[in-house]
Amino acid sequence: MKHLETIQGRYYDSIKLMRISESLQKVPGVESAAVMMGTPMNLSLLREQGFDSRETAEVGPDDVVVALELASTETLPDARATLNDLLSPAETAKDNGQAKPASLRSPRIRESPRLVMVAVPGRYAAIEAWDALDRGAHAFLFSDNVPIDDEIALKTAGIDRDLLVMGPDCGTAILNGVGLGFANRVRPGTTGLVGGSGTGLQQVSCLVDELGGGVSEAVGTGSRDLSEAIGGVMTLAAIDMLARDPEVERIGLVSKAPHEPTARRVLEHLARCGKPSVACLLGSDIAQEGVAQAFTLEDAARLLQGLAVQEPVPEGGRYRGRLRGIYCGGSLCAESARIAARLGVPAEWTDAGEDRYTVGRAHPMIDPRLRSSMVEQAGDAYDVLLCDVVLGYLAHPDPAGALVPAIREASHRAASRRTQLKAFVALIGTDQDPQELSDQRAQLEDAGAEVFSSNAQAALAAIQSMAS
Amino acid sequence: MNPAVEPIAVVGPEEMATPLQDQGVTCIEVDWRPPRALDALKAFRMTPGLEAHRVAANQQAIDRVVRSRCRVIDVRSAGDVVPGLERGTLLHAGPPIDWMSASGPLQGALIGAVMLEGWALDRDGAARMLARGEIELAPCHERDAVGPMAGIISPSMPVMVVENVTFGNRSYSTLNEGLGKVLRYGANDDSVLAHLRWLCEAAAPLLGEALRHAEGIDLTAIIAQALHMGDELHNRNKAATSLFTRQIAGDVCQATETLGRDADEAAALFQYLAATDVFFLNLAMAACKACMDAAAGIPGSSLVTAMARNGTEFGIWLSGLSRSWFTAPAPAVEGLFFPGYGPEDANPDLGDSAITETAGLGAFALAAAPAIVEFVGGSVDLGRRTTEEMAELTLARHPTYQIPALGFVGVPVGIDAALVCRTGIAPVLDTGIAHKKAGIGQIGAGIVRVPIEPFEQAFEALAEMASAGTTG
Repeated sequence: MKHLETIQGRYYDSIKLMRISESLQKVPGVESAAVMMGTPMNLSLLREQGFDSRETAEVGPDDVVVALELASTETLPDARATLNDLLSPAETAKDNGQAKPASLRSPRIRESPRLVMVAVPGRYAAIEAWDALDRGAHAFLFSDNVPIDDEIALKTAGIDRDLLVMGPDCGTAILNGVGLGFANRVRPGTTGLVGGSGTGLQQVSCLVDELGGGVSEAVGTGSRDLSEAIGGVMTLAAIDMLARDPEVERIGLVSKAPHEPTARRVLEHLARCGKPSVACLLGSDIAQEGVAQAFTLEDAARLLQGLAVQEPVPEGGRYRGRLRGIYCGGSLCAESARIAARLGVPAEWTDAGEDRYTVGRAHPMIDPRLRSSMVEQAGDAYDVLLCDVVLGYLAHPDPAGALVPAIREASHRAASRRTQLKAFVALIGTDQDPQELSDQRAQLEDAGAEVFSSNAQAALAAIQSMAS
Repeated sequence: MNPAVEPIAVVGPEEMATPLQDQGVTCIEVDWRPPRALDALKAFRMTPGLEAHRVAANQQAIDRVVRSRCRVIDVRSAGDVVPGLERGTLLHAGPPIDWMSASGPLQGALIGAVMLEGWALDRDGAARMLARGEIELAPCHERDAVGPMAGIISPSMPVMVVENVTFGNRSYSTLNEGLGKVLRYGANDDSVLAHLRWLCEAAAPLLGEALRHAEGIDLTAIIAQALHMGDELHNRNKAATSLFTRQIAGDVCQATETLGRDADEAAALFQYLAATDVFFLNLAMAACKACMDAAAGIPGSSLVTAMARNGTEFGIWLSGLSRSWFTAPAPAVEGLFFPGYGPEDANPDLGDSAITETAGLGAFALAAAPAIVEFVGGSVDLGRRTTEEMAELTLARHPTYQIPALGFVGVPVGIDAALVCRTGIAPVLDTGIAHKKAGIGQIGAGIVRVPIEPFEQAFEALAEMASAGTTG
């Protein structure tokens, strides 16, 4: 039986709600559990799962929705009790120990932070970032769905105060040897990276590591930094910072979909920075003398390591079948789309980490459920599946384990229409990452997927498999 | 730029901090809650200079609060000294209210005051006059005065005159009637009126002469000492009353002689002071009022300069908005009840005594008063936690008012409405509970969290005014 209830006007973080859903699912008799904020996106997901849309007509984005599939009504009291335990704040901790500061202005903060990581719903993020700058701290805005005006004002203020404003929508950075957000555990070294995008930086830093190099600093600037409105201000500031850093010998720039005049200005700046540099601008073909151009993220890593590029070249062949790319990483998705376009292969692409999918829900690299359901559905209509599995500090503890059942279900569905689904996976990570790279690879290969450490290679292999 | 990052503050779920801690990084985890009045908070940030102006205005305001030193200098007839308190006017606690909306204790006290002034022949007549609007009602706060519970001040009542010697402004409060059947809880029978007349005719002249002889008494010093002796100056004033009595004793003897009175009258005054632990509450309130008024009217400041309840509504003032009230329904008080009474008997929160919390005393200084935390329904640790939680909302630690048990750290003083909105934490009061029927009196005491809405509305109004100031 299906059971739906609403808790009105109470805020919980999406990661907390995901953990609650997981714990509820372990209650005997609970077949599935979804506890989430009542955003339009989440409500439509519930409708797809067969919950009565009339019951959620009054639910708003500030309400919590609890959707349960139960073996019988007798299970409900147990599930409810567990839910109440999980939702109630840990008062006991507050009674005994030191209470946590209530804001960045709290007198409980004795030693001023040097960096503030902000991971709150986007409309609130700027208030926190302002306080970070007031305290003289760099701001790392993991939050997405932040209004563009907030970003402009914050970055202007950050530049004034000589502080980094990384993000919003900043997934990754490595600063002074500390991996922030999704960052992978890469070897320290002499490469400095700047990137608007999270998974672009992750791919390049992991491949630099794999090719024997290391990373000194990787500065995330947020996915909109090279837009017309922002004008690349943080990218320029980060290039200056890396140019001054004596440990950095080479600088790599990674971004997707830049605004052309902004990209041109940034590349000119990079060419004059005094250090050898490489740029991989996905979705732009601007060239700049003095900056090595990389068509793929892998080529960017190879150039940074002094190796020859392996740019894909159209062979004029014909391709059969339907390709479906379903990604967690926006840059990885953009890179694959770029390769497919150059080779003339039609395909359908989804970046499940886009802002519109993450309102009231954690990023798919943390909460894999949304992406998994998309993968399952791909089995109904496609022949070739292309996915990413991204490891790193903040990522899901077993992302391959979460994707494998979906790949198997998709294969099953494809088989029922007499198609053998071919699955290709880009596995982004290092052998030092907490998720155990080799184990992740083995799980995926076990499910019949071909696995690559370079997303470009995964995309090329997927396309090759379609060559007739 | 310097890429050094430690320590890292994490604003968001604890899962964000775990990978950093795994890397051995020192993390400061912030207990984040969605802020209130988001648009107003943003408005200050999005217009250049607005936030800096607000911060500077608050600095100026809180400076005036903590630099204020207050003395009680005289006892006079309210009608002679309280601004605009003419015949036919009564002052009451809290934000403005009319007779129909007034709760039981406030109505009872208003009737008693009309009888005391002789404006009506009997209590029914007094009630009719009040119901017809023949008596003008005004908040004490708007006339530089404060009163506990119903807080009624009528023209013939004696008031203690408190002067902020740093800034020259004055404030006024009545003589506390003591416990039991008293006007401030709505009692108005003949014994109540007789006691009020004794205060007016016997106690007030003697105390006034003594204060003039002493050339005033330093209230700031007494408050600072009383905090070291277990008072928080709202629910507990035992130490402060004792200190005051010790200091004024010689002058009372001198005054008795100057006025040609009997030793019996001096003895009666001392017996009254000895029996009235809460005597100093009215002085603490007047001192707090004089400090907060000195910080009122500073353009752009979001400092809260008054919190008060009339038994129906709770209201606040912001410095930058002078005397505009922002209100919400008065909350119920959670606490312990005297035997025979329960929550169903309680009146909603009442009185101007929240001026003590506004100025950093009362619940804000609860860590100083372990002897009363059980009385208000908590543990000793609750006192410490309350004081520390309130420090999340305040602009300063008071340099003079210190709490020994917290290592002589100053009380948190000066609520910033922006911080209330920012944290979603509403201020806390520790307060007495009045019976909802007039005249029964105090039936318990406890802790109450005031409604947060007035802080949101006030801060939104301030943001609107600040934005308008920059565009036109």
